[in-house]
Amino acid sequence: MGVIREDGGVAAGPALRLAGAGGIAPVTRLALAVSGGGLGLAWGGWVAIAVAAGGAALALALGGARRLALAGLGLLPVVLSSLALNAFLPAGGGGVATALDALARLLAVTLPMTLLFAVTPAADLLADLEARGLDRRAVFVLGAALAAVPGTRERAAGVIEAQRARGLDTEGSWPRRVRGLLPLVGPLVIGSLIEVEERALALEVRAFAAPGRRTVLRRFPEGRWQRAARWALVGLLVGGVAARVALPLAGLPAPARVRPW
Amino acid sequence: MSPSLVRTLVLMPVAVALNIALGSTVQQALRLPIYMDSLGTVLTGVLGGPLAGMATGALTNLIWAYVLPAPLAAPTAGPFAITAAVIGLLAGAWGRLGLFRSRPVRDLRSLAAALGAAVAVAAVVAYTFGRAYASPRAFATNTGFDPRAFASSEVAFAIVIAAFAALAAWALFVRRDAGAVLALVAGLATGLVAALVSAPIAAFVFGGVTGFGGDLVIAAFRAAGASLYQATLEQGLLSDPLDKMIVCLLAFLVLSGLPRRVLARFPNGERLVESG
Repeated sequence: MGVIREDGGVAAGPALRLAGAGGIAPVTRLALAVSGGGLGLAWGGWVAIAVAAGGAALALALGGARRLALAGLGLLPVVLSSLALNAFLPAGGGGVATALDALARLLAVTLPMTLLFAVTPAADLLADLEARGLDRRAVFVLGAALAAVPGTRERAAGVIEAQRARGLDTEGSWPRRVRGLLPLVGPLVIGSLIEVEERALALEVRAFAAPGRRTVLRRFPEGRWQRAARWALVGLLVGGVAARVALPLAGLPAPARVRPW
Repeated sequence: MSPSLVRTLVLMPVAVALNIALGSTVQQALRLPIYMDSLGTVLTGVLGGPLAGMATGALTNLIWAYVLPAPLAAPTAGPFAITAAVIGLLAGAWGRLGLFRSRPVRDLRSLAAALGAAVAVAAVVAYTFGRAYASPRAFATNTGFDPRAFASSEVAFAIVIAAFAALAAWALFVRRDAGAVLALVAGLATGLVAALVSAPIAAFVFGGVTGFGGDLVIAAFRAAGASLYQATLEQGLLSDPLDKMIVCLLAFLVLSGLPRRVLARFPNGERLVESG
């Protein structure tokens, strides 16, 4: 499989083969995840629960269950917060139904996208998108952003440790902590901005600014049914969101909320 | 493709990574009630223009929510990509207007511009106070909010205004830079717009919950009598202006500390380095 290089480019790799999901192009999976998440977000309630359940079932089938479970655990603070806000405070309505509806929407949006990136390396998705005409500048920005996150977080942690070693108070009163903002943010941001200059020069000498399209050598699974499926998913998403927006305009009641009783 | 466009394209992923690193690592280290996840977006907007800022903001939230694995991921950030895009768009507009340019107070025109901006903010504050905070009844009539939330809303309003006044005084009398006051005004305006855009997302998509420290503020407003939408809006009107004022001031300080030759190579760079 392809990997994202440090400069944000996508390194060439052998033809795509994915356990359990082989034969489905990354861009078709993206369409499936986006349409499922979009419909779950727009409709909430039982639609959202169906999308989340579908995502969980697919994860079990395709082998992304561990990452999906971690993503679900990551939602735990939100769930507890939602219950505390909506179920235990008397003012303003809400209640358990609001908390559950919010949770269902959140799961519906999060699980399909998490599953997508659990079974599809980002480099494969970017290469497939580029092969289908996505501008290489967009591919570069997406790829380079993904490659830059771990390094920048490490550097931020390093700056924090270094400033603490020099006596910066990050545990004291809030005025002291406010004063610590610039010493923490300054070196990280200025270092990154200076680095932009070096990276830009490196890209220019590699003909990044040259006109024309890059030739993408990798080939991804494609067939008539995949094209049809993608169009159907796009149509379903557009139609579903339009119908949800039209409900209140037509004076029809909103879809039923999930109730625990 | 021009060299300045290449620099903007390189800056965008760097800014996305900065947003995520600052919004997680630094925010957690200092435990301040601000998000700190839009500094890269503001810098990109100011240096690269509104479109670059908008794309950086939206990409930050989408990558943070859906692409990064746990525990780095922040699942609730996704729908707020709209807010992040608006912040980037506004930052680009402020950059085009030259609001992030350093202007020493000894220059009378710059001082007049800063004082004019501060007076404009004071006039808006006085009008808002007269209309909304004269009495609980006026508050309910003019805002449509529950009068029981009057006291907590008044406190939130006072905190934001006090923070603006303190930071503007610091900029004028300690930093002696009139440009910092203009950056603060830009931050205040950005924060107000961000709060207005975020509130319906927080209320209707997530039931008022984000999983961050702001939930405690929402809980406090709810306990004081505000409805869910009112509480999320008031939390936003408290947190977002504070956050964006600090972020814009930090962006201003960072930009004023960069060599002029570095700034001048970005599309909006000339508006940051031209003499006042």
